[in-house]
Amino acid sequence: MRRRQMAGGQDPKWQKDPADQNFDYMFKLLIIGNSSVGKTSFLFRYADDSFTSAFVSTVGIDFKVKTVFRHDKRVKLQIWDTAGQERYRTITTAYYRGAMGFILMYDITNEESFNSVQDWVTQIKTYSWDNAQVILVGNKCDMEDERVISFERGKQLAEQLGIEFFETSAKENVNVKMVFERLVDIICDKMSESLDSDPNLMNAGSKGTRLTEQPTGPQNGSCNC
Amino acid sequence: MSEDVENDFHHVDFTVASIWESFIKSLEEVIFEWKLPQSKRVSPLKRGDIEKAVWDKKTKKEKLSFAEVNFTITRYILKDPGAGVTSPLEDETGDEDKVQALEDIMCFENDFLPQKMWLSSMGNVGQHPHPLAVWYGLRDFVIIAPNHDAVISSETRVKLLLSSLYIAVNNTNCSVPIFIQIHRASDQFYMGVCDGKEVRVDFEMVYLKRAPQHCRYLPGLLDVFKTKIASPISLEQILLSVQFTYILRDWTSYKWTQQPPDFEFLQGETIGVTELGRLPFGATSDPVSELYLYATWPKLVDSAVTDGESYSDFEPSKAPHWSVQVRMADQPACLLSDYFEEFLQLCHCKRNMKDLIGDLMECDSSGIDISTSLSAITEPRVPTLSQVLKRNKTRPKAVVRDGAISHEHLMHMLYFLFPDAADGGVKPYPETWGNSEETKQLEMGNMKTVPVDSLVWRLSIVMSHVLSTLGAVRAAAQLWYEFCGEMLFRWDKGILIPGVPPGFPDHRTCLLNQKLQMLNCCIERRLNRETLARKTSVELEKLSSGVSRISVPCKNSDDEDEFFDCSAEPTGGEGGGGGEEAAAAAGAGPSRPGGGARRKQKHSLWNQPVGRLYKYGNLRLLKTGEHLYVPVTQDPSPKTEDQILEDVDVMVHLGTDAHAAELRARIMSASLLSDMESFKAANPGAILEDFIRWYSPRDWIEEEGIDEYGQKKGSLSPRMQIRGNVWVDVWEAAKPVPARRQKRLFDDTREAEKVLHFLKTQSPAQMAQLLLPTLLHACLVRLMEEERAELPDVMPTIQHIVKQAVRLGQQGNTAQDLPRYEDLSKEMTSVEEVIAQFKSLEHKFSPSGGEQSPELQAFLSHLMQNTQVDVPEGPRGPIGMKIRCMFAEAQKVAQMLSEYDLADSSEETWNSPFATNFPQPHKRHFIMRTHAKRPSTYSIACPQRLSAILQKDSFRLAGCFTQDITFQ
Repeated sequence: MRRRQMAGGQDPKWQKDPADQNFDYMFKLLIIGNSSVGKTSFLFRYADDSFTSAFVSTVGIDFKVKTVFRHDKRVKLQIWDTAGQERYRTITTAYYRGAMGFILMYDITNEESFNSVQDWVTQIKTYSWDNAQVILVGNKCDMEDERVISFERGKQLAEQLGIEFFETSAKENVNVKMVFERLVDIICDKMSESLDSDPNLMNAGSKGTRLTEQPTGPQNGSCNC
Repeated sequence: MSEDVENDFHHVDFTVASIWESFIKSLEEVIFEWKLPQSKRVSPLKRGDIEKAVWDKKTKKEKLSFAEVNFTITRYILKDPGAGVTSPLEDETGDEDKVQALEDIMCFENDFLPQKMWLSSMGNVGQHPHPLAVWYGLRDFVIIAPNHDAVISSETRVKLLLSSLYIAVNNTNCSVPIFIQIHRASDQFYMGVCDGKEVRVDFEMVYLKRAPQHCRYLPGLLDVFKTKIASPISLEQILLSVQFTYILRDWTSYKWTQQPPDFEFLQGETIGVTELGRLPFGATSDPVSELYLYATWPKLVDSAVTDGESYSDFEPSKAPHWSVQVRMADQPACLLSDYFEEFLQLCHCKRNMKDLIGDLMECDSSGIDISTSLSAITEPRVPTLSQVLKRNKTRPKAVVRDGAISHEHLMHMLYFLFPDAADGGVKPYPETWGNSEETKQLEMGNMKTVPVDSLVWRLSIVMSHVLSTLGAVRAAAQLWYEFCGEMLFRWDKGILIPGVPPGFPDHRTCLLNQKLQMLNCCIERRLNRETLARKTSVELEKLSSGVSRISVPCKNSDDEDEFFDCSAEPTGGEGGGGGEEAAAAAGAGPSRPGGGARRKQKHSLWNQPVGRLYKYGNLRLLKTGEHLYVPVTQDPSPKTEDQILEDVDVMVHLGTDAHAAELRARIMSASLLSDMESFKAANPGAILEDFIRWYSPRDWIEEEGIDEYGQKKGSLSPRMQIRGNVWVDVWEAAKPVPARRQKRLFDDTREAEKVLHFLKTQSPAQMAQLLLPTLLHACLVRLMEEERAELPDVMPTIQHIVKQAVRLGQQGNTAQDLPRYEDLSKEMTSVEEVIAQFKSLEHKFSPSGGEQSPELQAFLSHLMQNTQVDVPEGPRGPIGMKIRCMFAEAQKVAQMLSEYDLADSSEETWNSPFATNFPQPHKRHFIMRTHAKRPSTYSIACPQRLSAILQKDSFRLAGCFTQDITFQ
């Protein structure tokens, strides 16, 4: 939602190569959740459509980029993949601000990762913008034999938290694309909503990210979110 | 006419021959089109209906033209004031011949409609409802007015127009009065007519600058009325309604104004705290400019009242009915809004610091450095602020005098900002930082600012004072310069900055606060390091002098860095190792006797475990069976949000391919390496599996079976076993080095210098932008303090501003968002204005404060809605008494003044010696009504009415006279 401002603005460093500007809007998304619930696999499945049984455990934070079409606009998703280990909390939470969407992931075969969901939600509330959108994802739904968290429990928790819920499998490619598309939609809805309710934002929209408007300058799409 | 026909006989409609006739025809067309003759009669209006209900305005511009003048025809009609109330009266069949207009003009409920006036953007005076509604009590009428600047003034043209109107009205039986605007629109001069079924109704008018001598009082006006009616037989009783308007402009002791804080006056012992920490609020001139008092006498009989030059029954304090209205001042200067506005101006300031206070900076740079470097050697470790301020005292006087803040003022401000330096008597910062209830309620907590009453909060308010009342931009620059100087001083001396929430830079707060938190982190780390160094040297001394060793256990995580490396050897007979003592202190498990002794045998001299924090549960190293210890690690590096953004930039810049990802992992692995080295140092003989069991337990897959130390067997997860992955690589590269001997991940000196440089290089405009969101927050809190439940519109507006402010904060670019801050400033001004108006009214009607009667509360809140409000119990009620006092006081002042220049004002108009407590009425409005047989004795008695409005510079008669057209 926010354009590159604070560090970038007039920073020549931020002038990206032309190929990189091939989009109208940019959303910053974050995938969070306990260690080894499958965040990296999930991201690789979505961004590269690949799957390996073992990805190197993420050190700190990393990102991938994928551009999608939504309402005739190219939306560039900058998806940040985070380390789930407790030790990395301080590092990763610093990146929460400015994220427009979160994919909060647990592992349906791991009770502890499910029990931590509430903690992660608290982290989001504490460190992110108040209008950031969250989707709860129960990953590894292909491993039905080892399942310990039923679909209903996940669903119930999501309802309690007032967020949407999906069970996915990065391995079998179940619902992966769906989760991202849904998240992008929710963010778009929320954006238009706040723009409609606030005419001031609309005026600023020419510089911002109103979906129905054509960006005007070379940097216009690069909302730094 | 005949020529026309001959010339164009194909097209000419023979019935429409002249422009005059075609004008009448088009007029009739409009009348039919609007269905005026069929308009239904509705029930009589209740009091207040005409002023409150919405007026419908229907305008037609085309078609009507006559003698090269185009006309606009407009219909004013009152919308149903309430569904059902004025539904057409169909059941009263007997009254069918009655006309709405005639009923309305005779209806007492419609008398003295309050009229709202306002200045439109064009400079014209707008009025609501239309004056015709006020003068006649009409609710449905039509006005024909010449377009643009055309003026119908000559008598012949007026007559011609009127007679066309008569014909049209007559032809159509139009019962809705139609008026023609004569003279200029601003004269409000109208004549009109309507068909009253068997009677003709004429609306006539007289408008003069001055009342003729014989019309100044009621008897003269009654004569005019009677003469005009000219009924062949003597009149029925004439019923009167009278209203006198009085204006109060001089509030005397009831004035309510606020002055900006006067720091000069307060200088002395008490200056500071209360004034400095509080934003001013209120208007500098009374926001309520005038009070209109309407004294009304409804339904009098003409023979029962006396009104004349020497005596009048119309004495306001005896009027049966009073109502009042207030006029608010147009944009009074409001203190809080002015403060914010000035601050916004500073955000646009183009000047730089050197420009503004270059002399000061030069003068300081020669003096300060030497003094601080000297004091570092000679002064005690914890200096007081007076020492800091000494450098100001020694500053050449000429500089101080030169437009900037005076030294005393500066002292008070710095003590207010840094109360820890004062000896007491200054307001310290709160112990904990949280948001008060009301800010929570409004979600002000989401604003990207700082906790209430923290350092940045105070600084923004003090800066605002400085900017508005203590020397403007130059002084603001000076205060910032002093603030930066203080920051440098504190870093130099290792004194924590007060009023800054503890911990890492909180990205939910504004950037300036994050920078100060960062500086505090740096100071803290440096202090810790220095304490540790000192302890170590003491320890070494003790060691060398043969004193028995003392182990210094690490007490809590805050002290991680200053963990004193303990010997593995037992300190006494019990055999508890130093590390285990630390473990006990950290509450991580019971120490086991004998552990140390075993270690002693296990570790060779070059492989002593160092940097242990506490035992990690009951885990034992897989290879050696030694307890697994959590090492003392380097603290994570605090980062401000701009630094995070820089990091993101760097990472994004690397690109998205696999190579870039690996590069990023390498960059990110710096802290992993540090942790692994600390782990190796604390756990000699450990393998990667041991590290993983502590660091990332989910990557340790337990298997069946028990190993030799009684632990479950297991193996690394597949992902940790990938060949050449970062974890394995880094583990292999890691040497056993305890945290304190590692290269620092966080260089506090460098970071502190970065912050100080950041502060120093802010331009005045940038500085103001850093503080602006916090000042906005402070202003909103101040507005909340003043908010009144009686003003229902205030809270929603504040809420709206808060919502915007939260959003602006998230956008985070104050420079770009300045126009939107300006919008918010305007909204705040309106809120402040409304609250100030209310406070002013409250001061006037309930000066002592205290409990207000529900009656008064309702009265005040109605007044705020800018309407005419009835005074309960009229002049005899408590509110009425108050108003009488106000007028009396103002009269007294006025009389005292007039005594001075008595000589000039010997010839006073309308001198009424009996009304000493009230000024001359601003306006006198008489309404006379009767029924009279016109024009002949056998005509039916039909309603007659005359409104007379007398003001100092205008005299208006608006009459409505009817005559029988059947029995003439």
